[in-house]
Amino acid sequence: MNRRLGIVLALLVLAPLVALAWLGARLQADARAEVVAGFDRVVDARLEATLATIERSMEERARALRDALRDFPTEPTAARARLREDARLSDVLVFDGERRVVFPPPGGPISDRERDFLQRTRGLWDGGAFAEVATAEGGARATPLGWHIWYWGGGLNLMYVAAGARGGLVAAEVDRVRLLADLVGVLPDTTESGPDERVALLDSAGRVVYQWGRRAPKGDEAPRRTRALPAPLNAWQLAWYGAPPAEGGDHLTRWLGLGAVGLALLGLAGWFSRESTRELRRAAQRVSFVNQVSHELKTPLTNIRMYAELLEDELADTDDRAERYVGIIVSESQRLSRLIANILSFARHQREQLSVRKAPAVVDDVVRQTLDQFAPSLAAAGVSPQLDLSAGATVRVDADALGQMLGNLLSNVEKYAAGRPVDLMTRQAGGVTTLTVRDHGPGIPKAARAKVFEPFHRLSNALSDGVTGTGIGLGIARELARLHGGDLVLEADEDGAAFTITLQTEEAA
Amino acid sequence: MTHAKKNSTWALLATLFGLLWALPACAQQQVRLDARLGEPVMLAGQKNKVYLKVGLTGFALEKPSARPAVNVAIVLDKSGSMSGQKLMRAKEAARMAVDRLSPDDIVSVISYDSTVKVVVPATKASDKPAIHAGIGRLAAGGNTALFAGVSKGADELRKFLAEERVNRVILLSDGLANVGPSTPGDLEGLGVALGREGMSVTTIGLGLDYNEDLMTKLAAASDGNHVFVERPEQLAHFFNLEFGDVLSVVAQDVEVTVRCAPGVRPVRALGREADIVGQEVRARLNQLYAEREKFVMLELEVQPNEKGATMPVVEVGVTYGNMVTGQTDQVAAKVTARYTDDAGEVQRSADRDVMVKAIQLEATERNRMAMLLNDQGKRQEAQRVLQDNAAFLNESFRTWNAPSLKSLEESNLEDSKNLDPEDYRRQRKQMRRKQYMFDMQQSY
Repeated sequence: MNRRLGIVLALLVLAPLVALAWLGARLQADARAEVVAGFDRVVDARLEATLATIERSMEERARALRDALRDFPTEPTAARARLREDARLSDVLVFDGERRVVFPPPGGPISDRERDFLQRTRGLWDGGAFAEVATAEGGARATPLGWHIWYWGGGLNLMYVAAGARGGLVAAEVDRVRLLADLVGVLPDTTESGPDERVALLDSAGRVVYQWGRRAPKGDEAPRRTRALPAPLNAWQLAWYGAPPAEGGDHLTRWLGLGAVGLALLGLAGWFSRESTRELRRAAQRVSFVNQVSHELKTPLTNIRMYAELLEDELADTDDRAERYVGIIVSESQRLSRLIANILSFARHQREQLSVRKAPAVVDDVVRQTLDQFAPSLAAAGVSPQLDLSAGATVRVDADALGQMLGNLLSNVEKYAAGRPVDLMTRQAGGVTTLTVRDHGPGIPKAARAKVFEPFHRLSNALSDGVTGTGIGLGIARELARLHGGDLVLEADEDGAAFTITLQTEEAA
Repeated sequence: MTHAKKNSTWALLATLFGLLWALPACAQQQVRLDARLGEPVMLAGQKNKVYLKVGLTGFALEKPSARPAVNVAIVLDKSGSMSGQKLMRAKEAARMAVDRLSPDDIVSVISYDSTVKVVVPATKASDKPAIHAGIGRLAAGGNTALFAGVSKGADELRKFLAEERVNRVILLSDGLANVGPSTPGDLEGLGVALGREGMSVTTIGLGLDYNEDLMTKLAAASDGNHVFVERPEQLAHFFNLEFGDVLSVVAQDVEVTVRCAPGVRPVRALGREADIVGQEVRARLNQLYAEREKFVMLELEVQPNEKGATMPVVEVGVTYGNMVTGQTDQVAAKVTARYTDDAGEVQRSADRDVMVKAIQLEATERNRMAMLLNDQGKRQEAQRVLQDNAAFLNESFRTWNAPSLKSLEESNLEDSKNLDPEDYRRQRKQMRRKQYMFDMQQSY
């Protein structure tokens, strides 16, 4: 009873808390997803801005190279002079209209540097990409002016191709190191006050070329965003390392809120629990009071009964009226005794102290004695017992308890099946005694069958029915039967109500 | 006979002419060009190999305030290995160097570890407390993004890049570049690119963990200085020397062209890089310092000539940006040789200065070769090369009586004793540093 209350109260506290926490977490996760998405948009915008810077820088470079290569001389001395003067150019290939290299002059005297340059660009002019242009010249393909990429040495190399004199081409190599140094120049540096990020420029092999930002990524940290660089550097990429801002203070507020709600619920539960235990205690006090009173009533009643019975004997065959009055006193005091016995049994049962004391007795004798006691009241109610008794062996049984059980059944018959006969049947076989009491009254509706044994349950509570009772008799009777290792069951019967008591009754030694 | 006499008269005239041209140039704040052969008198009737030294000496500044403004980017390595004494001394040295600048000079401070920070963006050196404060904020930690550091330094220089300023990146590093392009070749490429833009990079290697090949190539490609600083407390001294150089630049963007006469073939350049195309040799020096000589040393092969003839060998032309006048100036010289059959005369007339400088460069070349051998694990051979080199220097010392050759001999012997792995790490840095000094005629 108390444990169930505890579980209910715990549920009362926990269920809303869990629901609240879950809802809160859901809401927070949604808000977080929104924050993260917004954060990624900001990061993307910043990366785009950086890419735009790189693109602008490459466009400027292309423009500078176009200027520098305009009217680039084909004559070696003049070409060398131009290269010396113009810091924007490092090495240049000049092709004539037939796409033959004319500078550096393959036949003429050249410097070591020029020889190296011719060597490493051989793939381009000697049957390579630019020669292809030559064969395609007559066809549909246009001359590839602008950026040209080829891989040599440590990675990507860039050439800028411009139109030369008399249908020729001029291709200026953009030194990779120089390009990198210039990119480093236009890209941001690390600042103390900058965001907690690390942006790395990675080359085609995934190596860091340059990086900035005060975050130091862990060894295995994967970039959160990556972006390829604009052409012609699209083999390179920007990798962004960082994390969205932490959830911060509202975490604490959430748990504080939940805690407050939890505390309020706990307080409420505590209050309920206290109220209910107070109620229980009061009920227990009432039961105890009834119990005490019953005890106190028992002794005087026993005396009343005894003397009334003595008087009854004395008055036998003298005065009809006096004898009748005394008979009534006797039967009423017996009824009162039963009532008190039931109350005390119920109280013991409540305290889990109800027990039976088996002693040698004959079941049929106990049945007859009890019937004798009931005879006046049964007669008054017009109930005629019809006996079929065959439990005559002396067995171990608590005679008082058996009497109490039968009394309770008979008292019900008297109340509910007046004016009809009642059948009592006893049987004994293999250490089991059965006693059946069948009346021919209105019976018990099916729906109520399960409940008749519950304490304080009465088929009708209406006082106007004129039926008296406490509603504990059947429950006590069944409990006593069970303590005997048997049971009290309501038989399924069309006509009236039939209760059968089963008892484990060992033969008395 | 008449022919020979005519030739000799012509030579005399040419020499006089050259002298007349050179002398007033010096007085008028002009760079002095001094082109001379190691052996101006050669044996007739045979092929000769001869050294040509094209010496260029910066003029003296009339007063210190007349010096050109400088545009300096100090690039400091603040990777984890710099923590403690090293970074403290580096900051101290940088602050001290900044104090030497005038309000018209421009300075920027860049630090790098895994990434780069522009600590002090390019600014006039007038607000020194702010610059000092910026330097003071540096704290060590992280990797070595050397390429990015120098590139950012160059970018700061570009903001005020001008021909009338001395544009210099001063890089201090104590470790191996490990973020971004990191090979000596990459950094050499960067040096070349920056040199072409008119900037030079001085590299200061601190301690025993930096890559001396990378640091010397970066410096050489842009004609900056290089130094090996073993202990942090020496940093201030070398910063001082470096700033002494930077503050005494009188000419920049120096283009040297040597045109060989028919029958003369340029074989190679010693020390500095030079472009040889046919008969023409071109070399570029980023700058000249006041009252100090830098030179281009060439080896020439001269076809046989007959005895008594005086023949033109080369014509030298030099253009440079004069930092005092802001003009682009030119100087030129012609060099002739005379032919004799008297070997003694060849000896007697040899130019001691040219010969000693050439011997130093040859010995430096051999020292480099020994280093290469030892790098390949051929220690015995390396040792032999160094010992032979020492013997060669000893003999040359006796011939020319030049103390510098004696000390070079000793340094080669010293090198030969420190080739085992535990000493070599330090020695190699020392060797690179010395090679660099001779190749580039560094003043300190």
